[in-house]
Amino acid sequence: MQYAELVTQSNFSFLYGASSPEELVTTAAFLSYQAIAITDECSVAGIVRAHSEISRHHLPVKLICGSLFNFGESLQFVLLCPDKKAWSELCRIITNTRRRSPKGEYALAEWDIKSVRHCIIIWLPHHNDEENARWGEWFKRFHPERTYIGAVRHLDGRDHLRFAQYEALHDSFSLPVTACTHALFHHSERLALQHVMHAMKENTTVDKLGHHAVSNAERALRPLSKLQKLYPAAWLATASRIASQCVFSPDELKYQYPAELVPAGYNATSWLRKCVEEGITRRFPEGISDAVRAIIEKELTLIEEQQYEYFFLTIYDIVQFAAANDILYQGRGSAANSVVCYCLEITAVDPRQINVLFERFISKERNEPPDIDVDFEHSRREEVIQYIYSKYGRERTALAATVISFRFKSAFRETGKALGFPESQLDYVIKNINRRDRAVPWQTQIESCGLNPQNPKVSQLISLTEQITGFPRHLSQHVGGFVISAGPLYELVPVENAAMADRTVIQWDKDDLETLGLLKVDVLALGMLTAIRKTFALLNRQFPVPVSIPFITALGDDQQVYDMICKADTVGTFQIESRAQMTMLPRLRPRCYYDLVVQIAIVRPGPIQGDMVHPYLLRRHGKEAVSYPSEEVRQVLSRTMGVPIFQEQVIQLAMVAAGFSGGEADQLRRAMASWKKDGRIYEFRDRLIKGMTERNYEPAFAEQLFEQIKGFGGYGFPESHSASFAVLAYVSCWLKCYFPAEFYVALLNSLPMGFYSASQLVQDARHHEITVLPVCVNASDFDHKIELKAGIKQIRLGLRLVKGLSENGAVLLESKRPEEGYRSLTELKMSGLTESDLSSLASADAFFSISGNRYRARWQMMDKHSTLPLFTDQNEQLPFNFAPDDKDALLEDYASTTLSLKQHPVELILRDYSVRQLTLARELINRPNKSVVHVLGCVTCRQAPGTASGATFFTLEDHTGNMNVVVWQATARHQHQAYLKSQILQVDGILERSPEGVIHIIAGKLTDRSSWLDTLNSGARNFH
Amino acid sequence: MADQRWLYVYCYRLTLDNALHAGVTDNSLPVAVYHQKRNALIQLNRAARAAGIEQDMGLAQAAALCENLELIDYDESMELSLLKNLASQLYECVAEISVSPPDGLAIRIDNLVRYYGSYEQIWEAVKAVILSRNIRCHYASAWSPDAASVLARQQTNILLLENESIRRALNDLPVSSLLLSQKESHALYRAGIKHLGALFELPATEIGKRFNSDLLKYLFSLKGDSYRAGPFYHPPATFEQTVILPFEVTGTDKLNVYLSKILKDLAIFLRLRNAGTQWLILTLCYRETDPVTLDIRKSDLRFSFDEWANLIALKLETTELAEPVIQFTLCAGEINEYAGKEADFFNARKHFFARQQLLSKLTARLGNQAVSDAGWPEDHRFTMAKASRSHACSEQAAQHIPAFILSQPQRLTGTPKIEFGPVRIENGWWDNAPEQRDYFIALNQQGQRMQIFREQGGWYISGWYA
Repeated sequence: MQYAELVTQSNFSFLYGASSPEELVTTAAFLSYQAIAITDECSVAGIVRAHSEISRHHLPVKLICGSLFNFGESLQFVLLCPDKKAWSELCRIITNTRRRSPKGEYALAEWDIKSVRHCIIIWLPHHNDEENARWGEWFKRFHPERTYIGAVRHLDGRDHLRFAQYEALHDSFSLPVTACTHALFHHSERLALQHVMHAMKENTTVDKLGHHAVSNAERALRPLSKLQKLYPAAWLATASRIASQCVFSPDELKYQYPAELVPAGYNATSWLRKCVEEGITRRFPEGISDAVRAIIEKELTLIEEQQYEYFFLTIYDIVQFAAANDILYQGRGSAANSVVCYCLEITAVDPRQINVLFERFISKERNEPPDIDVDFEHSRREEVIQYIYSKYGRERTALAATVISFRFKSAFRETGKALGFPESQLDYVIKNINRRDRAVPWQTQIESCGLNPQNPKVSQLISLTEQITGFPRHLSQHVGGFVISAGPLYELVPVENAAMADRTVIQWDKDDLETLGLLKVDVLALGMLTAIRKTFALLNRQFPVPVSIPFITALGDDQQVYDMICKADTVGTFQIESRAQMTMLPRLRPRCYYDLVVQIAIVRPGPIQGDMVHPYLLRRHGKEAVSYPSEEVRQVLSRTMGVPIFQEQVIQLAMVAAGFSGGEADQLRRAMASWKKDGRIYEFRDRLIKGMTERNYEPAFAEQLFEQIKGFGGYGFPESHSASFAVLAYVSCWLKCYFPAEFYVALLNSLPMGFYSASQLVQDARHHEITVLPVCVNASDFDHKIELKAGIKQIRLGLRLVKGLSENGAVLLESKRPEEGYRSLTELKMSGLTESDLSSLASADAFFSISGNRYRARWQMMDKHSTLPLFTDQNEQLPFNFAPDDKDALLEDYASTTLSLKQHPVELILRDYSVRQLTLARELINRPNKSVVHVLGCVTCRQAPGTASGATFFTLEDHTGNMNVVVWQATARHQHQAYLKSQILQVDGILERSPEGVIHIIAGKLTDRSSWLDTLNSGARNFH
Repeated sequence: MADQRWLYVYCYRLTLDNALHAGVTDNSLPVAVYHQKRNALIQLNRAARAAGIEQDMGLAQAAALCENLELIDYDESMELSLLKNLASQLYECVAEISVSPPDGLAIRIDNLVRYYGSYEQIWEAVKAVILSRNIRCHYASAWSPDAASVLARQQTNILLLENESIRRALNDLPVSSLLLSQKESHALYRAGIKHLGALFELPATEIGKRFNSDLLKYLFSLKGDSYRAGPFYHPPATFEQTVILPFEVTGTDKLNVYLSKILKDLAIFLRLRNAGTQWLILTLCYRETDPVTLDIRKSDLRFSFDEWANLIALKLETTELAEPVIQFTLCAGEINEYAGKEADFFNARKHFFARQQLLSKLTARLGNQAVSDAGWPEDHRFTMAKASRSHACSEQAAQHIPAFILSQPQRLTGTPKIEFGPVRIENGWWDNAPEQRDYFIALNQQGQRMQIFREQGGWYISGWYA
């Protein structure tokens, strides 16, 4: 007997289906089904995953693509795709219904069903006979050839009625009947999960679902033997026959690039070559060497063989637009660092500077799509996006989707709600669980929050939360992955509305696109590019020679810049500014561009977990010999001293040392990316170790490599990206080194971005002896700016820093400002600023030049009479003598501008409180290694990286500098409140100094001193 | 105005004290009053504080700190009703009482000194009444109700009588303690005016330019230049008391504690008016369904605590509660003065209960278990049907419900003929009655139709069809 399940909803029917597409196809194969149709509601989002699972494991089951629709209350049906035309038709219908509705919804019209010409219709009759008669008549009239009655049997006491109904409809309208389960999960054990998801969808609790809930587990995929007992043989045979008609596979989908990129008289290849040749004259005005010419030819041949010309041309077109509009950009990714991309000005990485061979990244054998991401200034990316839309039209352009999945917090909260736990209790538990605590899992931690895991309800909550974690919750838009096609995109994949106005997304995410070999163009936003361009703009106003990225890179490696980098004086720069990077800089001591490439990639979870950092440092400083087990390995690893640091190296090692084919290596790469989710990487372990031992590598070396691969899992950084980032890192350091005032101003004007807050950047600027002047209604512009005083550059903070001040208000303030400045508050009030704007300015003490302190200013502003015509000329004589004390002024500064120029909180605290044997940040350097120290500071950063074995890194700031504190897990656990909640923290600990002079304080006792300065908002960045 | 003296009594845990006084909760255990809208515990007893629970703490945090915390839901109208009851009792010893909802009473005391001899004596009299109801309070006196109120809320607990001491105490009060809107309080604070003394220093004209007249009036009242008091308390002409129960009450016997308290208040009410009543109306309010009104009548006008208590108990005994009671109101239907009315104290008329009442009484005697009303709950499980009184039922589902469902399934004997099935139920994993059964309709040799099911290899009868 053969059977095909024609109606199945996976968990991509969000909050209804309770099994993944992978589980469904695997189970269907296990049960010896001939085929299974994945028919999510108005969606094909799960199709690719099912298809990929079948291909990967060579499952003996056929995938049928389809989708389920509800039309009003009385009609439910499924469209199945027998061939590619039907697929395009289905995509068109889904797109139409989705585009008519807000995000996440769809609105089917009768016309949509009428327009079906190629799909097979499985009609799932309603229990209302009248409605059925109406629809039976309708189907008979419009689709007599392609409509089947889908007969379900759910053992819910209504089967006898349904069967009678099917027979009657068959007799009346001559529509054939086919058996189906309308499965919602692959195994009966998922019943509870389905109930929970259903309750979430209905926004109720499981016990209140009542008769709407599925009454038993008959919605699972059922064995053939059971189906034989449940359905007439003829109906089962019909299902099989329908499956045989369905021959469409997602593999058939081919992407057509937009043709308009190639002008008449050229084909894609010749046009690309022409563009490259033109680029050569720009990039290499002195002419190119034979070696570079050879690489270019090789790359062009490869591009032609793989038919990637359009991909390169599309990106070329976009970056040309950016260049023409003075938008700074930088390409990165596997193909971005090719010489071709350098010539096309997609990237600024000079191939002569770095020996990153393009061929390594595009491989014929691997047949993986080339990867080029282009970062644009974050404040101007929208212009690029609008250009793409206007050039290719909305029909042909859409963003890739991102599948938003249940994470622990959402899973726990929503499952808890569905089980009837009070929301306040769930919130409390979530707030008090430390997910970074590896030793005590959350399942145990909840006990200390008042939920006893022995309680059956709590154990259900735990189990169901575990099951639902990772399930898709809804589709969202990818940050910038565009899919552009030659024809309407909806013939390839359904397109739906995104939450953002005028944005459309396709129903597949980047992995799905990769599986099907469809190309996307990543248009990403990068704050640092904005900051760099703004710095350039400030410089180019002062100097005749325009400063640009190529200008700086052409100057070669500047040792003064590297001296600064080695001192870890990198606050505000790109990539090497984080706490971990700054700790590593004095140890690695980068002295050239490639060192930066390594530096950026090495401080990543991949190399850290793979234990690659220490050996690399030892070898770099000549403390350990470099050896290679074979010449092949030497070729791969020589540039990183025998230690695999980049993701590409790991893949290459698998190929050269274990004999992986290109296809296998690609699968390994993908498995690495997702091993934490699905553990698929273990499938490669034996293959890798066997391959390596067969090639005479030591088993220990093979094991070590596998561990390194695993360590890389998802967190390895590709050299191709690092190379592009290193350029920007260097440029930002160069600017900071030579033009710090301009650099800080540009950074402050580009916030929010990067790692540091305005307060931290201002602190750093002041540590560099740059005077920072406060916001003032008579001196500040909207943006921060440079003021010259006796030829010395000072930073004047801009109005943009003032919280609550509208942009309109700032513009008004500037435009109406008299030449001699505002003389009184009344004058300012007359300028048309709103009360809220004035209040915000008063909070920021921006009136200090005209009205004394902020209390006085506020009191004056509160006077409603002063703007009445009669009173405007009155002198403001105020019987008002209140002035904020230092503490109040500081708190207000932080509340209104997130920083204070007057005093540091710690400085203020130390006036009233004393800490025994306190060491200030600048004094730490004088304390001996391993000595006990007592420090006090504002918590500006709490980081608990997954690689740090549960340690949390705090950055404390006092008025003399920053301090690095390490809090071990046990310390954190025993001093939970101070660990989680302190804004001002006293740490008693041991000072540890590395041979390179990096100082850490290993925390012993944590004391929350926030009460010493109540309600301070020092803006800590927590757990990023 | 500064020559007036007002006493302010701030009852900071009225709901809690009421529950403790009524004996419905045990003061040795941690008890708290919970304000649902704010998700905050607003009244706490000592045991709750000892368990680490703090004022305004959220419920989840409190639950985590203390497993056996007993909660009483806060209801503002209940709080006000309790406050009015207190005012009514205080009315016996003081005249000018201004009720300041939901938890304060302002009492003018300067004009009572000549009756009591001293301010302390007045306070002693007031205190005695408050203590008799086991109510905790903070108090203070000042030259106006507003000034006394703000001092009492700051837990001054002193009778301030000298103008200078009142001024000093007021000057030190933080602006945040004043009864201002959050916006006003915030505006003052952000202009650096943090204490009342600072606000007093500013000329009224300057304040008037910046705030509305209400704030000025309040300020004048605080200064003692004028006073604002709500209307004075006047005892109502009719008697009506509402009790919002701290717990949902399922048995009518539990209502007696509250009822006897109200009856005592009724006795005082009637005694003061030299009146009686023959008609009481008791309204029971349920959470979901409409309230039920019970009329209780007595043949004579004379008030007798025991008689009314018995009558009410009898009435309640015959009343079946449709669902738990959340509040009730007792009011006197008609109040008549003794004088001028024909008082027939010895009328021996019998009470006639309605047929329905008698039936209910019989039912009560037989026990609730004996009466069941088949219904179909919003649940797939047939076993849930017998527990329900709801009639909401989908047509299809109803087809399979037996007319009579056994409270315990019986093992099936014999081999009946299966007519219909299976209906597979796999449900209820979320509560304590998970079910995994295949149900059938079968016909036995006697021609009786029954519902049977199979579980763990055995066959059982679960119900009979009519």
